[in-house]
Amino acid sequence: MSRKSILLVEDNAQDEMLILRVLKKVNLVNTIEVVRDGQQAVDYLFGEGEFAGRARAEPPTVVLLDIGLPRLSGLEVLERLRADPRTRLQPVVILTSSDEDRDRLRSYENGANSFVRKPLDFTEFAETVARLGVYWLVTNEAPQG
Amino acid sequence: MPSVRKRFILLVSAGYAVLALAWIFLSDQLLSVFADIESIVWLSTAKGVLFVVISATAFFLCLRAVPPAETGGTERPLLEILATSISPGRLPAWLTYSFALVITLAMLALRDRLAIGFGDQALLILFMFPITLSAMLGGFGPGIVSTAVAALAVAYLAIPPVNSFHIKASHDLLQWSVLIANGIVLSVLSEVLRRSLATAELNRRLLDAAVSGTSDAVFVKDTQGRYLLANAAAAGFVGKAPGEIIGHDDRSLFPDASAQELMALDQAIMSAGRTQTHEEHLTALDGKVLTFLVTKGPVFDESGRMVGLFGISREISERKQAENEIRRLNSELEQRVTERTAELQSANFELEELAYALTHNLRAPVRAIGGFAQLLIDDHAGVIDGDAKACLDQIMQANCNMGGLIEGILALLRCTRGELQREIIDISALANRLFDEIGNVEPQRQLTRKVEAGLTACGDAAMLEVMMKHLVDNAWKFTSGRADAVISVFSGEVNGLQGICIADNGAGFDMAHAERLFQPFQRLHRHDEFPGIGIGLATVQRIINRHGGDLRAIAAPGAGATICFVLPRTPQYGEAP
Repeated sequence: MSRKSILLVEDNAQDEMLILRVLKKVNLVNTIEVVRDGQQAVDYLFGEGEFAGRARAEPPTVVLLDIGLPRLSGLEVLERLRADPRTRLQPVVILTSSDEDRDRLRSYENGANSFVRKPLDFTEFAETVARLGVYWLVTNEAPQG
Repeated sequence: MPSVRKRFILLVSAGYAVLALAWIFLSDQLLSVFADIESIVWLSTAKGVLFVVISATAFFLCLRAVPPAETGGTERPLLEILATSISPGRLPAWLTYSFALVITLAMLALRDRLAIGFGDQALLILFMFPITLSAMLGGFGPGIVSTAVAALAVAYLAIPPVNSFHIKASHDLLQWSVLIANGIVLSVLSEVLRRSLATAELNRRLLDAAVSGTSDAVFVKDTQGRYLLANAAAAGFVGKAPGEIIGHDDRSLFPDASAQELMALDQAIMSAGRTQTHEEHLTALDGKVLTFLVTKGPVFDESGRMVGLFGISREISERKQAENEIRRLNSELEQRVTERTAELQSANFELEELAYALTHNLRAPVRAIGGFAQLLIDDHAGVIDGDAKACLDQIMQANCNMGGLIEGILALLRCTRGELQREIIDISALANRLFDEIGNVEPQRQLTRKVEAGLTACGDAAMLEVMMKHLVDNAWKFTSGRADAVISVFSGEVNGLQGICIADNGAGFDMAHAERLFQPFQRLHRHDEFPGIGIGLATVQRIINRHGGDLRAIAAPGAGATICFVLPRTPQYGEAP
């Protein structure tokens, strides 16, 4: 069984820090990789560009993907992942501040596995992120097994 | 072409010359009948006097009939003009009666002398002169007077037996009777003629006054398009005198293209045989383009044959120009309104988007501030003393308030985003459902709910739900202090606005602050009395505005509040139906 891991795609440094701290409290911190824009996310997952050396053999268990990202938006990243047979089944959770109906719809249309809004209140936010980490890394069964 | 006036004067003068010459030869011939020099001298004087009287009378009549130098009206035959000489004038009755008397008596005297030369004949034929002149000059009355005087006088003085009204010989009686009959017939005919002439003259004058007085062009053309009549206004439009137009067609008045067009149109009207009104655009010979409102129709003679075409034409160039100007300005205005509306809508939309994006982007820093403060409290409790902890708590509180404001303003902006989809909404059912929902949250509240059945409004389902939720929540919130709380939803009126009302008997508010009621973040109660951020009624107002509806509230402190709204049943300006 391969090592379970999370890819966090987040451009907001404070959100990143908060998410990492929350996940650390539920003992998931050493399984997280962070990239800060959409292009990096794609490169990471396909082992291209600055991640050319990274082995494709180790896809993350789940991708936590923001929508409002520099370079490629989260929705574009999702589209590319779904278009490629290597990442077609990659579990992706949209974790965003957006409350636009059309973002939610586009996410599901593009094949998101889940859509989670970042709560404004930190306590709720912390609970949500912790639940997500535990659910996707522990409870949920990944397609690759 | 000499004018009618000149021809008339020539005719009268020539007529006089012929008649005067004839008189001289015939009357001198008459004198040869007499042998004695005394009779000849007397008769010569008498016939001279008679000639003067007759010619003076004839002159009087003829001069009356001389037409004025300028006639704008129809051309009239000379004899018709001459006939007007005997139309009733302003001669006083006493003058015409005196004339009849004098001329008849003069003829009596003349007859007396002439009879000597003709073997004492009655010479009744002579009296046709005074009777005719009297009747022509004065009509029936003077004619009859002349007849009566002549008849009585000759019966007494001239017809045997003399000095008696008795008439012995039957041929004398016959002649006498014929004289009377002729006199009466002449007088009656003369009177009838005078009256009909007077009527015709009056009609002609009225018509002439109208035609020459109007500022509209009035004209008549024959079937060939030649002008038979044109008033001064018609002549004025083409810059000519009326006399220069008569007998000519439009080719002498307008450029060829315009003239051809006009004449073709006239022919069409004459073929159709119907009167019609239309606009004509004509270029005058001086290049001016004129617009006329024209009524044209056929003219028939007494046998019903079409003999030409009449036209009444009003120049409306200026009015037309003004109308076009108004039309142009209106369409420009319309265009400008449309542009401004679009600009405003676009500017409004951009502002809303900016506000939304701005508010939205405030969420991350607010979450970060709250998050890191919480982490300090949670993870570093050991190194934070009591005072620092109190400060952190205040940061957390302020952060929480800020979060509430952000969520409130986002809800306010979000509620009216997107396409407005109007449908009929059952407000009664919606209100009942919302009361049920809020009742489930606070089942311990005692509250009387009165929702009138069958209330409907036309609007966007999602927006109306948000709006009703705020109204129900408010009523619920502000009655929380009462044990006998009553909330009603009904069809009613507030400040003249007839619509759907929601009334409670809760805390109410002071109407002095009513204008702040529907503005965002305005609160009329302290936070410790009733919690909230003051966004509910502002949201309601936004939704009402978005629908083009109206909203009013009435309240008193401690006596509850009633809020009434009305939504239009049809789409508003600038909105697709």
